Amino acid sequence: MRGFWYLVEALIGGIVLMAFLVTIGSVYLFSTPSPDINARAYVILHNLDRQDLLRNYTVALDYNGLNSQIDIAAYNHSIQICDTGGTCAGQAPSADNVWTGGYIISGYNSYEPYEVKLYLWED
Amino acid sequence: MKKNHGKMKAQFFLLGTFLLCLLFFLGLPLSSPKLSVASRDLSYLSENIQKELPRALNFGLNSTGGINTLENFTAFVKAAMLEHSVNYTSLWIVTENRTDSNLNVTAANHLGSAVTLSIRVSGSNTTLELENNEINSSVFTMVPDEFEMNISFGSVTKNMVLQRNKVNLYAFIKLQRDENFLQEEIVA
Repeated sequence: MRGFWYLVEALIGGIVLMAFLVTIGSVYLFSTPSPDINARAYVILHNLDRQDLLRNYTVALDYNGLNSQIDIAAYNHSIQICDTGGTCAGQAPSADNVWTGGYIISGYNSYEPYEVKLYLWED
Repeated sequence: MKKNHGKMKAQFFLLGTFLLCLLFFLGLPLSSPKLSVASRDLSYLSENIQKELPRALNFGLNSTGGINTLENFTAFVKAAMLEHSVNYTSLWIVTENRTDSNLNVTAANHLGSAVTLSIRVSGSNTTLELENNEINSSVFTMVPDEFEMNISFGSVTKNMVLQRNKVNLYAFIKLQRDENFLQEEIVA
């Protein structure tokens, strides 16, 4: 009978330890990394510039036109174009969990510096 | 009387396990931080700035702005980087051809502190003591069409072979967010 209780206590101790290890493992070791949406925002803006689509929309302050050039599944997106004085054309979203990327241009055919901000958020 | 030490030890083992687990879980953060800032964006920001600095200088040279355009753009970039919680510091040097084989070298220090900049052009040396946000120039005479320029400031040393008949730009840029930083050199 004594041996039976030793077994039960050892089993309970083992279950406690296993639960501890599984909890720690699932939270800190085996959790899947969240997608780097910030990086996607930057990549999108860089690609738009490589395709010569970014600058003409930016200097024209055509944030809707620039926004229409972006296609990213599962995320809403909006564009702001901000000048050196901090005045921005376009709206920043009022949503939870908004990712943002920025791209600076010195100008298109002349010196006209702007920062383009791309906001991404989930539905 | 025989004492049941075995049973007592096992119970203490269980109690000790419970206590250790409790201590560990109490030490864990109760919630994830509300704000998380990516550090991998530093490379994208750096690539962007490396592309735009020479463009800004070109725009200035093609207009009445001149080198001041580069200075204004540097200030704009610094302000924009602050919105991304990035501290942007830089030092740039521009060489311009002058008459009679003379070369004008202009340097601007935006590294956040005073710097001693040593410049050697085709064997001639000069030293500029630049306070933060200060611009200064020096003229080198009898510079050949193709010349070697050696610069050093802080722990940075750079050798370049440049053409006198074009405007040359060297820039050292550093982007830092907390303990993460990225520094690059631009020669255009």
